[in-house]
Amino acid sequence: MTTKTFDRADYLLFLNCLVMTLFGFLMIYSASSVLAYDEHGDGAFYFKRQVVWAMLGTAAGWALYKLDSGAMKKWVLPALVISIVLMYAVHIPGLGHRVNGATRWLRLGSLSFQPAEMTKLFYVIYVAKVFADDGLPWTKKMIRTGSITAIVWAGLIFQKDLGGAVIVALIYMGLLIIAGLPLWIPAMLFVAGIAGVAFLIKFESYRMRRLLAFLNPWADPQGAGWQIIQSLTAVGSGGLFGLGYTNSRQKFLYLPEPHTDYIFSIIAEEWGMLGALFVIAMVAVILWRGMFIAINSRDNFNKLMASGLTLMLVIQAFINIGVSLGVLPSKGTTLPFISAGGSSLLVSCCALGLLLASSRLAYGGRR
Amino acid sequence: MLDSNRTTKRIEILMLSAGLVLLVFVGQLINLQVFHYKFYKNRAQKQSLESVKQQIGRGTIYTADGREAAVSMKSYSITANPGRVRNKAAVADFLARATGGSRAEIYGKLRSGKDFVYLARKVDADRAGAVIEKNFAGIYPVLEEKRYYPLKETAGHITGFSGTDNIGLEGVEKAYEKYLRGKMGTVLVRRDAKGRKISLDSIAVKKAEAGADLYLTIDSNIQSYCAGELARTAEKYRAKAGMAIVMKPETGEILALANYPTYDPNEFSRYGNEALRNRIVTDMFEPGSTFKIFTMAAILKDRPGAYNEKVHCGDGKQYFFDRYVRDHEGHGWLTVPEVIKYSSNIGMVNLAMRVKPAKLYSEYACFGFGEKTGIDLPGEAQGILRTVDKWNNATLASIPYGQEVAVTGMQLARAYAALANGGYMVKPYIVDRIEKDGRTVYRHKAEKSGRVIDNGTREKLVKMLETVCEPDGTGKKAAITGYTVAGKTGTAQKHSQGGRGYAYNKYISTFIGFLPAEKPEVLAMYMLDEPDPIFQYGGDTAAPAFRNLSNMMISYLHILPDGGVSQAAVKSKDAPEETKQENVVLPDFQMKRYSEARRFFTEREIKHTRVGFGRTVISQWPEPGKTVGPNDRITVFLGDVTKTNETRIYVPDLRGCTLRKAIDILEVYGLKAKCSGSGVAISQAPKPGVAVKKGGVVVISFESKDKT
Repeated sequence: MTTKTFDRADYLLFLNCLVMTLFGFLMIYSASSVLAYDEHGDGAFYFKRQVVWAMLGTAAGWALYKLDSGAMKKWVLPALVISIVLMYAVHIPGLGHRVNGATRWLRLGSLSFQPAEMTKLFYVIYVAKVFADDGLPWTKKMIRTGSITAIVWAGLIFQKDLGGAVIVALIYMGLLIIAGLPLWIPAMLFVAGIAGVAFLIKFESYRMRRLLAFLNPWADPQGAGWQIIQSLTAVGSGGLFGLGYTNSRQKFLYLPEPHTDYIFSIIAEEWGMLGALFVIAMVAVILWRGMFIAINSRDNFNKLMASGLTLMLVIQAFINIGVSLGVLPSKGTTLPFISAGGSSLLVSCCALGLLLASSRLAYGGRR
Repeated sequence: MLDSNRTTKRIEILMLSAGLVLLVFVGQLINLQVFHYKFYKNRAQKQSLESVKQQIGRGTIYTADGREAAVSMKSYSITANPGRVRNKAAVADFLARATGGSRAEIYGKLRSGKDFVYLARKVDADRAGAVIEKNFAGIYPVLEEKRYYPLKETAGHITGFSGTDNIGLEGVEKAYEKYLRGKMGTVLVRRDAKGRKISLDSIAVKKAEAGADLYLTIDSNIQSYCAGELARTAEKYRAKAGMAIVMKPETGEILALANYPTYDPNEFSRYGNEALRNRIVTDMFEPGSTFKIFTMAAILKDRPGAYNEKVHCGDGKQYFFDRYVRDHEGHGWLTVPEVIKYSSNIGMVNLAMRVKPAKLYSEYACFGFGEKTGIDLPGEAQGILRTVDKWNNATLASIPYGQEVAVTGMQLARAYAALANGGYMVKPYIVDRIEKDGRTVYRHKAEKSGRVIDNGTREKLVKMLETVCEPDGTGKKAAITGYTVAGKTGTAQKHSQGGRGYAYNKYISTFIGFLPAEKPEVLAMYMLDEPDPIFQYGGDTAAPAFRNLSNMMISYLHILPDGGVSQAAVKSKDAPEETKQENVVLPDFQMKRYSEARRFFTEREIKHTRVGFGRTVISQWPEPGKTVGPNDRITVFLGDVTKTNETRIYVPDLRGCTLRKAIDILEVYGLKAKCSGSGVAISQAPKPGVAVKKGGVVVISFESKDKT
């Protein structure tokens, strides 16, 4: 075995995410200016916020990049527990912050924060750690990860964040597959998950309406089908080359949340298929580089953590794009690095920091 | 320890399935953005139908002397999206009261299934204010503009007008639409999914931009006089129609342009085509005798010696090929210049017969007949000049005196301008420059073609035109005391309606001329269509109108005689008979005492005008050495010389002067003028007699007198 003496991170992945963030700045400004002016009297309100969060995210990502993976294994459980506690704490009156009928935010001064986002990050690291622990028998691994998954799930459902719950379930399944378990276990969990989601949809009438609207949005174009139709209209009217930057028609309050949940639709409207493919390609780069790092990692923890974090970013992106394109029912999910949203950007930056740290270990000559 | 190979394989499977999802995305993108592109594009546009177009600030049109010829005044249109209007009956009630419209009509429109209707247009700001204040859902007052033409019928054919949508339909409003119209703005009006009004009611997506201002070459005072004189003349001689134009022959700039009947552009919809037509550019007619001078140009170019020949014009009737050519009287033998002076058709044909038809044709073509002049007004006709291969014998017996050829008034004026300006074809124009936000975005560039006629021939032709205005010429009524006028009358029979040949008593009577003949300042034309047959002759009807207008322009434009003594002026009955002094050569009075000059003039009984104050003659007009007659105007400009031999200037009294005259006078003194208003000077600062330095500024206010 040749000894490599250099010590480098995955620059392509870093550059890719940097471009996504900067492109996000541009698109947030364009997509949100009307809404921001309407709500805050300042067209650049969301744009400015995103820049601040990007700086915080860079700092956090840098810290995690420099952090020793041994230390991380030590404090990941306490961190996860704290974030889960905070996730439940949003329901304590005075601490939580309600937006769009869902209580998911904690106030930190003038910035509000979603503990659920942080929970996802620590959850991935914790599950990776448990699966990588060679001293544990499979049954114990399943019990530990299964129970922590259930707790996180319950918290998300309690927040009416079905999207988040689906993402966590998919990450868990992905990790089960990669960890080398017999495939019938994830398959069974998948069936159980579908049943659970079906039950939850039946339980909450608004979820039912959304599902029906997804299946046939034209049945109620002014009501339940509105978002889907407006999103399809945005994407479709963009054509091959788009209407040009800032020329979106749909952002004029036709499309709800044009800067977060539907930013992909605005990109497809203003930049056309060219812009949409550009974004999809950048997501594909995350998938490719992230999994490349996992494959090349020399220890199980980094292998599982890298693939888990990659899954977290890519699954979120897929759900966001799928909703914008009308191939998935609508869920409030952000497009990592691009969508406006402090918690999302901060967590994405942290994930990137950890991925880059893993890449340095994977490509580097020395442990 | 995990099985590394198995893990890698499983990761690859996951990546593969993720790749499939990406393919689904790409497929859906193609589906939406390629196959359903049109559907969603229409949908998106239909949704933004609530965007309302807005256009404000059409440019102002100014005359050369700074008067407004067309201005925009703000008004509102009340528009609605009926689907969003609640409580339609009550809203209709209110709007009917506020705008003065019909309630039934408004209510009907509100109940229509349309997305967008106009409920009232051109509502003034006061009335619209009440509607804006109410802020009804679905009712959108939109700022528009209303055009006003302060010069009314005086300049209707120049300004033209713009329609309800503020698009120029006639005149310079149409020709310069691109500059005058501002940029269209868009205002979006938004409602949320449930039809609730949201605070962000309207967003100016695109700001409306004001149009550029036009500065015409038209002088409002000359225009007003020119148009008034045309109307008076046309009514006096009961003409069906008429046209008039004043042009600077040197440049082609048009100082006045009028048609009769005319119209008031403020109420253009009340007029028919007869009044709306800008005849001088759109109508063609057979020019008749005014065309002869161009035949003469061909003759003289062909044989310069012809100038001194004589030609037999018989007893007023001569047979050529298949027809009789007639003069209104028998002229017998005429010299060639006299053929023009007395306007003999027979003489013209006899002379033209000796010139090759191709040469005649190319001469006419040279002077721009048969092609558009390029005037910046819409609807110009190009006239009819058949190419020489289509000529026959009958043509040769007609075209020399202006039949079988059709011209526009503008073409005729341009061709005469070439005779006046030394032989150059100019492009007539009516817009001098265009300014936007204080920047000049367009300025007319003088277009002069090469010489179409050599100066020797030209001078002979101008001489002939001068004889026309002599006391026994056909244009004697155009003569002006003290000035040489070169011009030509025309009395052309009109074709009979529908049939062959010419109508018995329908004429087009014309006079076109320029002055002073030697160095022409202005060219003017009057034409009457079908005047009462009793007054058929151009020399009787159009020539006096020309003279009256020229007199006005001489004093208004401060046109000075050209120094040469016109025989017409001396012999004219208007000239004072008792002044029988010889012409004298003016001595140089400059820098001499005024008393000396005064003595000189009184001894010879020559009238003179003095300008300014002081005991020394600073400058004089005409220049020293020029020959002056008793009827010439002599002006001396006074000042003082200090002991150190410096010139001291006192501000002259400019009150009562026209703008141009005031500037001319100040120029002699080397002073600068700062003018405001238009018309005649009513006040000045510093006051008359105040000593100033050379290069000083005099502020003058002008005020127009309504009566000319």
